[in-house]
Amino acid sequence: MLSLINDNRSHLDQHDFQFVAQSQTVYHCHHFNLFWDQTVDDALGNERGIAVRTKAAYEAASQFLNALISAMPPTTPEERLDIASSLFSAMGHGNLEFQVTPNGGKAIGYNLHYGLAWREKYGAHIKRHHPADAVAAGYVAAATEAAFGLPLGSIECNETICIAMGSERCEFEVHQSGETNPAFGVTKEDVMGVIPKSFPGLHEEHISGVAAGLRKFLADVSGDKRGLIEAFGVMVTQQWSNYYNFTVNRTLDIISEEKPDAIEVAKELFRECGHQCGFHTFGGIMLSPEWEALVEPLNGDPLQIINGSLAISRALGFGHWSLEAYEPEKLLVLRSPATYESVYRKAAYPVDDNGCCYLYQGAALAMMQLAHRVNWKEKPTLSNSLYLELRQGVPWRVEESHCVAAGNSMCRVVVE
Amino acid sequence: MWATRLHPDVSVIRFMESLERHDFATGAGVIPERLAVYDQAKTGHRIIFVYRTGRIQIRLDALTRHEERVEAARCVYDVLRRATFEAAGLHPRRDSAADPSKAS
Repeated sequence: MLSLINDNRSHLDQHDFQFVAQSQTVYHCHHFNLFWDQTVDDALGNERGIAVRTKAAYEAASQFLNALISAMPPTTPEERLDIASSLFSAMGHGNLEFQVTPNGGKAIGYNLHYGLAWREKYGAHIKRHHPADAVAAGYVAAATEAAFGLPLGSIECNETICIAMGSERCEFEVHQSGETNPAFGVTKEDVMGVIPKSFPGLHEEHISGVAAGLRKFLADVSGDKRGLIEAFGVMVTQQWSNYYNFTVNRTLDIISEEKPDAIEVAKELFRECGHQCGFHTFGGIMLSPEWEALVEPLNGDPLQIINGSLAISRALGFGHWSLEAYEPEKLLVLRSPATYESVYRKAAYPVDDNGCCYLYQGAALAMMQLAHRVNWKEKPTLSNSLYLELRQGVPWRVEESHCVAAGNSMCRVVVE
Repeated sequence: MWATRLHPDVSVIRFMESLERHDFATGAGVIPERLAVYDQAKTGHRIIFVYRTGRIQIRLDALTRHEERVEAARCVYDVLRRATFEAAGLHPRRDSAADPSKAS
């Protein structure tokens, strides 16, 4: 099934965006994915958080599956369900078994990324009382519609049993919603319509070269027989950027309407997701044997960490993150012609006064943390306890000075 | 993930042949002449080797239970140690089992 993804994969070289069919995709690790979903639930409450996350996954998956299936020769509903299940596994989300008809039914999930990762990371210490796999729930609804050619929005799905709650597997109920919706989601054409012209940054040749090597490696990475991708020492998913973009924007919309006093807190939490991503994903990749084999062993030079992080961000599809300025210990300025966050916002919302690149902001701060506050020569374990230790007394603050979604010609963050 | 390093005097090819004799087979993620990946089919545990630096990493299967991880890592490390000794033409002493938590 990796071939179906790769046959429909395209890459905007100058912007470091990746697409599969019409859907922009990015790679994120389980640390970020769990923290992201938790942030949505913390802001909205579990029930409403699950609803927003499920809808986000449904819309993103529906766009993805319908485009891929329409690009293939005619298939039966059973074949389409098999394709959907295989795609889900290939992207590192686990295995799904469909037991559905046009009227509904159920689905079984094995080793689902979110539930499994939550159990592995937190399960020994925390009891969870609500399911973790909204991404799978949305995907099951979208796959059922796509398989049987049902109207968009006519199927709903919710997770009833979850591995994160102590079960051996996950189960989903699938039923008719009694509603329909028009087509939705930001598409590749939408993105192409809003991206500004690209530009290089400092150390461009080195960063581009490393990013190209990482991207080539990632193109061959696919879920194993359990539907899991283990790479660079973390569990990885290939995911639709619309999922993350819908959830953050919808969550902030709701907070703005209902609890405007809390909006800055919510934004700070999404920024913290970016900090988690930078610390665990960028840091974890650079500590991995894969990095040592593909790029170079780490020598403790802060600039090596900064440039390495920028290359990783590009390879993961976050955008053409470039170095504008860097002063050791004092200043880091990044700029990018766009990020996957800003192109969605620009395409889907009116121009705003504020920057919307929370991942970008948080990750830039994490890059300074990694560059100056981690002793790489000791080959540290980037554990949660080290994360919490470094999170205390951070000597820098980050600000997004320019954002494409605010009408600027680039997205620019300053850490000082 | 527990890391160690192949001694530069040990033949890489003989080390890999030894791993194969201990039920490890080439797995996904290989980068020719840069990164070797060996999977143990019955457990899913991996041994990863970086050619240019000699670094070896033990990567336990993601589904290994928390309470079984230390023992699982010790088992893989024991295989690793045996494979290394075999590749070097030596025989490990039973009482010299290294503690993988002290590996660097």
